Amino acid sequence: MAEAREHSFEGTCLEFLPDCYAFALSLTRRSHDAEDLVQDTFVKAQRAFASFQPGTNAKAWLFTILRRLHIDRFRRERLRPTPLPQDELVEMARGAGDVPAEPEPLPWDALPPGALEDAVNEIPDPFRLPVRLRDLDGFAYKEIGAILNIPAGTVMSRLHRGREYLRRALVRLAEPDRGEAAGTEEGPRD
Amino acid sequence: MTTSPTPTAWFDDPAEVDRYLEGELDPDTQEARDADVAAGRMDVDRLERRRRELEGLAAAGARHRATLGHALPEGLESRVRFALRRDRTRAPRRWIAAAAAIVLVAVGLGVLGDRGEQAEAMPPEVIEAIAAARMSPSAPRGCDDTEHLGRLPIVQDGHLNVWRCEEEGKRTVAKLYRPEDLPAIGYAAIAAEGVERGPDLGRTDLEDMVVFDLVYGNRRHYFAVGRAWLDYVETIHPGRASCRACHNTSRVGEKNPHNIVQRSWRLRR
Repeated sequence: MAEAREHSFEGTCLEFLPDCYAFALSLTRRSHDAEDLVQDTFVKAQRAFASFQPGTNAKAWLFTILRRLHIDRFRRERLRPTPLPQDELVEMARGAGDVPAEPEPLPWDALPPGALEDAVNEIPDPFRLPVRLRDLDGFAYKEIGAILNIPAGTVMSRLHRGREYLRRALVRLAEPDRGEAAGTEEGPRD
Repeated sequence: MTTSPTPTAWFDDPAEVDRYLEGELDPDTQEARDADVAAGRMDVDRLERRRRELEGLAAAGARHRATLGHALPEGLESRVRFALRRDRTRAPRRWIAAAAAIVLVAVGLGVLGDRGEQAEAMPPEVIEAIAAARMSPSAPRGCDDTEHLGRLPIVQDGHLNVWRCEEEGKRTVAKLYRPEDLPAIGYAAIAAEGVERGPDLGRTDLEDMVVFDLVYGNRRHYFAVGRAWLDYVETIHPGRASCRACHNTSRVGEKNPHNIVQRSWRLRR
């Protein structure tokens, strides 16, 4: 019985190993740390598998565990990133929102492989994770709120602002010369 | 009397437009907004442009997810599977390990009576090293210098952090500190290649931990490492796991310069 449950854990969760590693890498930004974080996440998830409700999103469940472990480590190491002052956040958001009323279509065909992830990584921290979780990992707003432990309204606003940064980065990656010039003049601050 | 500001229509708020287009609304709200669109209350061209953009983004995200498996570091999946298996087999004994830890602490405090007459008393530093290892199962390595990466996995795994690395003659020396911000506790020596004789290395085997100790710079240093980790390394580098606890794989194939002394501590000071 217990063995069946263990097999069920691996059958349910191990397929998300690549997703978890990519998410861990985006949090830690170092491959060794990401690997450790992923391993600990799966061990912890296995121990807590009894609390997982079949039929719910296993990937979101794993991401929630992973992010909490990451925060615990930050707390323990006292390396928590300094939060940006609220007024600076507002100013950043305002800067990112200064886009033309009718922006031109994104040049998907001109983007090099991996451009989307590169562009996401350019987004400043307060806005990066919601964009990553939505546009790279495909989570619903509600799931993003649960993973990041923030209200739905915050998810929505950060996602929107983050996507404006994303748009600018994608345009720059598609047309580097033009993008650099544009970035110099009116690119978002980070 | 004050007047409240006029509420912004949902279609004037780009974040709300995204929420609508991505189907993130409850059915009633979605239906109401569909009706607004059908009634021409917003610029349909703008809505369609945004819809296409979000669809392009979703498609790019799906393409990205399809390639994720290729970006997984080699060996990570087997490492995770091993850790899961190991954890399963150890789970029934976890309460025993917890009880053993309590006993160890009690021993460290000198609470228990004599259990042996011949061996030396267990140094409290052994218990401290175990506590440090348990408190911080994973922490970033301190040296970004690639020359040192992988040389101190025990440090990489967070049992200790590197304050800085220094070259002393033919040796690389790492100054270590505990992650919980205690003062620096000293230096660990990593013998340079070609060194024939290293310091004697003490080894204490416990239920779930192995503690190494060695003297360097007139001080004895204790490093605790999880047995599960050592067992895992043993599967990759048979016979060299204890080397890998402090050194990297560059030590494979070299003659072991250390004399390993198995510790058998008496359970009371």
